[in-house]
Amino acid sequence: MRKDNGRTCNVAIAGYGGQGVLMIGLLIARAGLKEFNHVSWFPTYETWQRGGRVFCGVVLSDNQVLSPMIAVPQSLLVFDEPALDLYEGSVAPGGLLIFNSSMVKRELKRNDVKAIPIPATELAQEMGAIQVSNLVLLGVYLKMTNVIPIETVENTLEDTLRKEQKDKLIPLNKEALRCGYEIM
Amino acid sequence: MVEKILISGNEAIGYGAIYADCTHYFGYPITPQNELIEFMAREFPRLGRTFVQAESEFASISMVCGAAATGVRAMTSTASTAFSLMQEGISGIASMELPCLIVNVQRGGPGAGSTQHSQMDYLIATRGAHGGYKNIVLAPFSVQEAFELTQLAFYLADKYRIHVILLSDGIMGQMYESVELKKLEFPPLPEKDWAVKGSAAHNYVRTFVHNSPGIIGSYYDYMKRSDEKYTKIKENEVRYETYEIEDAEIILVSYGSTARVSLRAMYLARDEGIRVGLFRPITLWPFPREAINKIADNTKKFLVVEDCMGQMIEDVELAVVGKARIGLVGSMDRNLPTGSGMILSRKVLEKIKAFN
Repeated sequence: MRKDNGRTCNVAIAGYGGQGVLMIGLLIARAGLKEFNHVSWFPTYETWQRGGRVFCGVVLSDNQVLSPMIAVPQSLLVFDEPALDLYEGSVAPGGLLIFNSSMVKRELKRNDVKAIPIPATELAQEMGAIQVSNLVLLGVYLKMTNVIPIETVENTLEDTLRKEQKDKLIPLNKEALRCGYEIM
Repeated sequence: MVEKILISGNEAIGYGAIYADCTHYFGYPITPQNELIEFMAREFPRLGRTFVQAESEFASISMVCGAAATGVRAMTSTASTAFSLMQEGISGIASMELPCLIVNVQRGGPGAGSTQHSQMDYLIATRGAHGGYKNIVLAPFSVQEAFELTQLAFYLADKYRIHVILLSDGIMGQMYESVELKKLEFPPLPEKDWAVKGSAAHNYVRTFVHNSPGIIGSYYDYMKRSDEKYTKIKENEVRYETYEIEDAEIILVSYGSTARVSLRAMYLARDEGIRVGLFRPITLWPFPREAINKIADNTKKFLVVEDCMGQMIEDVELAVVGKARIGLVGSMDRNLPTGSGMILSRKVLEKIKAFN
């Protein structure tokens, strides 16, 4: 296990239970496995399933992942204001901070990061289901970073939903992902 | 090339058990190892192997004991709180010298403690319950290694006729990593002629295993046999990895998930010109005491990183025998991002700088 000298990127995602924080992280990790040799996904969540604080970190790398427990993410996806309060300070200087402006009402404190407000909940609502707001944010992330081609993520998303026998949700989920991708 | 799949540390142990031809699993659900029992409940019956969800952890360890006595590869898995409950059974297994695997995915304690990660069972895992027995303890620090050490555990158990504890932790269990699934090859193993397989299999001579080495048979013989076995294991089975120790001024000593944090911290420190190395024990018993002692001839500072109030640090102290200074990065050094906090690499770096 040597120090990173190939491609390495990481992203952290934070919100509350039920918003699909872990799902998005796993989707990046699963799709990332098709583009990178080494992938890690690390979740933390409180004991109850809905409403508790949820956080996950994904590392995609050409080399062995040193630590999956990322403390200073290059990119951060924030789903609500308490998550912003907790993790705004952690983003690497010059990093990317994509946040759900439908659920964040305050101004950001950081001015050394690239901040991108996206009204993800409202956009998802227009598509008919607030549950896909997570995919809107993911679409934005993919466009901004080009870390994985969107087609790879779409295929992975389709496989995952099919495996879970949620075939009828595929079009809506893909629409949300594309919505985020094309808004930028 | 073997295809890579993305699985959790808990599931990797399940895959390891399947690849090691473990045929009997007994367990009871507890966080943070639930993904493992769930995996076993799904996969073992499908493969024609035995899965039983017992009524308690004491029942599951007793079932492991019974199954192992018949010579099959048997295992259980649990987390800290219920690992305590298994101690009586484990001591019994030690007295019967039964090869089997016990997985402990550590959570916070004492008592029911927390459902979140910790490394607070080092001492109970390496020292065990009453009766002065020893057991092999293996500690994986990646999902790939969890898969491989599970296979090794079954091999070592059969080789020495001893139970093996795989000491994971909540972080190790929950995190996903890309893994190459391949079966490890090991040398041939001795015949299990001691196993209870029905009198027909033993030429109608009654065979049994029992938990009273000092009541039935010679207690001295039992102790002598155990002592020889433990000596042989200490001589042959010590495992560890080192990183950048040759020129190191400070050596981090860490196992399991905190070893990953330490590895990152080591490179962060080297980026700033601080010569840091990492020593990672893979076998916690037998502990790589001699290897650390030798390193302590050159390096005079050891910083133990473990998510507890200081347990492995005692083994490190025994290893360096006063030749070096030892510090601890422990549970009091946790910070965000989790609810209960965790030790992160930046904090380890901070402690490295403060350790003069």
